[in-house]
Amino acid sequence: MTMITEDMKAAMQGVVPSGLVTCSKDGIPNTTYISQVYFVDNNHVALSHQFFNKSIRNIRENPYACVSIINPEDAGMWRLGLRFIHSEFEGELFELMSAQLEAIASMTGMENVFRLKSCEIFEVLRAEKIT
Amino acid sequence: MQLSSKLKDFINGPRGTAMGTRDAQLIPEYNRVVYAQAIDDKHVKIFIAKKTAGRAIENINENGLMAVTFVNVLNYEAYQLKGKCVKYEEANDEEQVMVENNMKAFNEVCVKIGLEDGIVFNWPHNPVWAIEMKVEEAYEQTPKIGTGTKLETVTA
Repeated sequence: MTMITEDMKAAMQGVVPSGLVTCSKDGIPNTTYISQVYFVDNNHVALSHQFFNKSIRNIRENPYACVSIINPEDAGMWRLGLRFIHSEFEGELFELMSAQLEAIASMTGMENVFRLKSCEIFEVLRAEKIT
Repeated sequence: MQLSSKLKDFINGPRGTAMGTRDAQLIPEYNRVVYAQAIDDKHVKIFIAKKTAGRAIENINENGLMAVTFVNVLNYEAYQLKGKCVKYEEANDEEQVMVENNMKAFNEVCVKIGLEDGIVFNWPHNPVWAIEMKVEEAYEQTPKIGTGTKLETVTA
């Protein structure tokens, strides 16, 4: 079953930051904004790990997450339910995401702040349009 | 935990705001916040569209735990609050007007970052739930090395 449709891909350009929710093993939810939700294939996305240390700790303890994506052209928004698979620290996907992050940083004046530490790969368990 | 005047002003926006809850299986849920209001030094009211709030309300009924992050979309300054729902109810007419005004103001901010005028205002924002949260912890989340610092707390 394909979870990510064509119209959702337009919401994965990194133009509008995405809201990310994770939860610790103790059950405390955590929210943050991230720069990238990157299309990997029809059932997987990669999140950019830059600063979200608490989110990373939570994902290691409890693999579930929920993230929003927004199409900058019409503000269409989706909510994705995710399950963590693995991290990547090098390779083609890392290089592609790193290049996109550089472009985002350049557009937003964050060149000296945004730096990709890893790509966090997730399976998409559910996707729903919320606007 | 006591909210500073600076943080209360920040919360009162207009900001990009994300709310997180979780269910009994620790599955997290994201909700877009259409307005937030610091109502005193310890409590914040969070407004979310009823149309997409089903699981969040179930989660709040079950355990009450919430996290909310506020971001200035122009410069990425951001803060997260963690706490527990005290009560929730459908927003009254006066609150619905404030939601409306906030959506107009946030729409104007989003135009400055390149979004077309009107598309953010069109996000569902009527009717909304008004969720009162007692704040227990606050964290800075502005993107920078070492971000995530717990903000100063004052014991009541």
